[in-house]
Amino acid sequence: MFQYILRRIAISIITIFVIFTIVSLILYIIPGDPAYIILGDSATPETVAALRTSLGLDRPLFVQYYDRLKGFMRFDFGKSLYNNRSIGPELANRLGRTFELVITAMILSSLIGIPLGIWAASSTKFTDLLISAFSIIGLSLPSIVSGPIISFLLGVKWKIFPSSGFISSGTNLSGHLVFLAMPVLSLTFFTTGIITRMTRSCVLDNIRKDYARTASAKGLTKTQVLFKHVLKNSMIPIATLIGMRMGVMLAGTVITETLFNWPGLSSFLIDAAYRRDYPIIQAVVLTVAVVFVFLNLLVDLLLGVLDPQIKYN
Amino acid sequence: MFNILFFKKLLKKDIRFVIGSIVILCFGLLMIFAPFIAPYDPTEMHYEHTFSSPSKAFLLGTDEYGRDVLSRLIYGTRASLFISTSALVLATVGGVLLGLVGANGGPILEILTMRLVDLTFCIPPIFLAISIIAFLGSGLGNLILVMGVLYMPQFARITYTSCLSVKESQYIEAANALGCPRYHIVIKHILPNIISPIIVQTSFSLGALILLETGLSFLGLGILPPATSLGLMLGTAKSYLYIDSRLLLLPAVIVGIIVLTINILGDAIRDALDPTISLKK
Repeated sequence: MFQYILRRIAISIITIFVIFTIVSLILYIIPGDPAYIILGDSATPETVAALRTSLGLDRPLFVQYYDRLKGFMRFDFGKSLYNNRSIGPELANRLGRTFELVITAMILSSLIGIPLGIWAASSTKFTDLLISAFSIIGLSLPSIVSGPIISFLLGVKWKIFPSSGFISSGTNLSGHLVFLAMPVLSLTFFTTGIITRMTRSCVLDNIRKDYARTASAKGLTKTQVLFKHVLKNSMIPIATLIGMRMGVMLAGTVITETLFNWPGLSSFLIDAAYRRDYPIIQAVVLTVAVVFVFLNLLVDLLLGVLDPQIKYN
Repeated sequence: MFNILFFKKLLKKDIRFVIGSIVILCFGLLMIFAPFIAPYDPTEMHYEHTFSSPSKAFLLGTDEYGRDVLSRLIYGTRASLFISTSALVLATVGGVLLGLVGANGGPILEILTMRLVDLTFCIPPIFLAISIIAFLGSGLGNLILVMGVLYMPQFARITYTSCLSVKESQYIEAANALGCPRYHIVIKHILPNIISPIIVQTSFSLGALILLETGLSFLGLGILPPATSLGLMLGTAKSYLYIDSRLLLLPAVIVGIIVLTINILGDAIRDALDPTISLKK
């Protein structure tokens, strides 16, 4: 067990290191002079020279790489090309806000999806069909579809929530929550669909297994079999799914944050992409990769604790 | 397994497949005959009719420049579908090739391709797409290229794993013993046997690619005006939410319908190909 954990951690660190190396070198792999690539059409000899010095592109490649690595360890990603502010603190703030969206939406999806999935698997065929239809509709409502519909219904038609914006939780907590509602809702539908569907198929798989039949043969009621035996075994793949989905939901925030003007990680990346602010793009991509690798590690370790059947070789 | 008979059976047995096929067929016809169906040129501006509501002249009204919304929706759907299917073809061909090379090309190629594939799974495609397009520049060609390349790893992974399980079969061993050249084994014996998971992946990737295209165009990093796509329409309509929310709602609903159809169709195909999954309890 201990060895397994160590090995998983080592693999994660190596993965992050390799991604860091690729992201750092990508400007040199793309053919052409990095400074010209960043500046694009607005490149003049003066601006190119200035950018080279400010990014340290005039130093040897190895020194640049070493400096970047040192900075990365201290969560220091250098400065924005656009306003010369240091990227690290801003990134940390925005990462927090994005996590707020993702975690709230994930809790909401699980609270709706898991009971619905169990209900679908254990009830009549008609209910099952109805819930399955609901889940496939959910699957067709990713944030780019649900976002406009929600902002029309709740923002314009019924005027329940302000259409978009952000207030920090420090200045006004209730105002903050009001602005949180619509972006979270727009992220919820899609994931709820997936969680419902996965829960249903996991529970169905287990209900058909021998141990469930034995349990009902010895006289347990259907509800007892479901809650005492089947659910325990179904929770493991569901927990894995939820962990993995956190990462995928991160991709959904790209649309949501832009649509609802939520100042999170994704909108940081998009603003940087418009301005070709290379250090910020690099920092966000790295951060996303680290979050992803870390989530995978967490899921694997959690599985090790939850599932006694896992072998550690 | 993939012959006309298979699809005939699917058509008879599965209502989802029938409905899905009909809707997809309609979208396909729309794509081909867009110039004849659309009542106006999608870029033609009628300045005296900006933000007009649905009427006989403009069935779904007009947008901020007085362009006909119905025509723009038709051309936008066409552009979105064209880009996504082109990217899908690129992703499938490239990914399957990568996977085949990884599984059959010896240990060095195996490590190189499959580790690369693993790495790309650490970052959601849309983040990579935004970063790459920021430097390559947006536009039709780049969009298809980036989207296609970003979805190759999924196909490579699925081809690779199915390949490994097929490779152990006796008929491959027999072909080997008979002295078949390796490329012949791969193309004639392995590929036909791993086609069904690839087909299933294709149907689900198409949905994801349509969403990626819509997302990128929505952010202004995809198709460039004056060309139109559903995502681009959403992106501009965002600013007019309170003036005319119909402009935002219509493209979103169409994207939803397309994705819903693909999901239903994908489910039907997956269930038909996988005998262990059944809807009956």
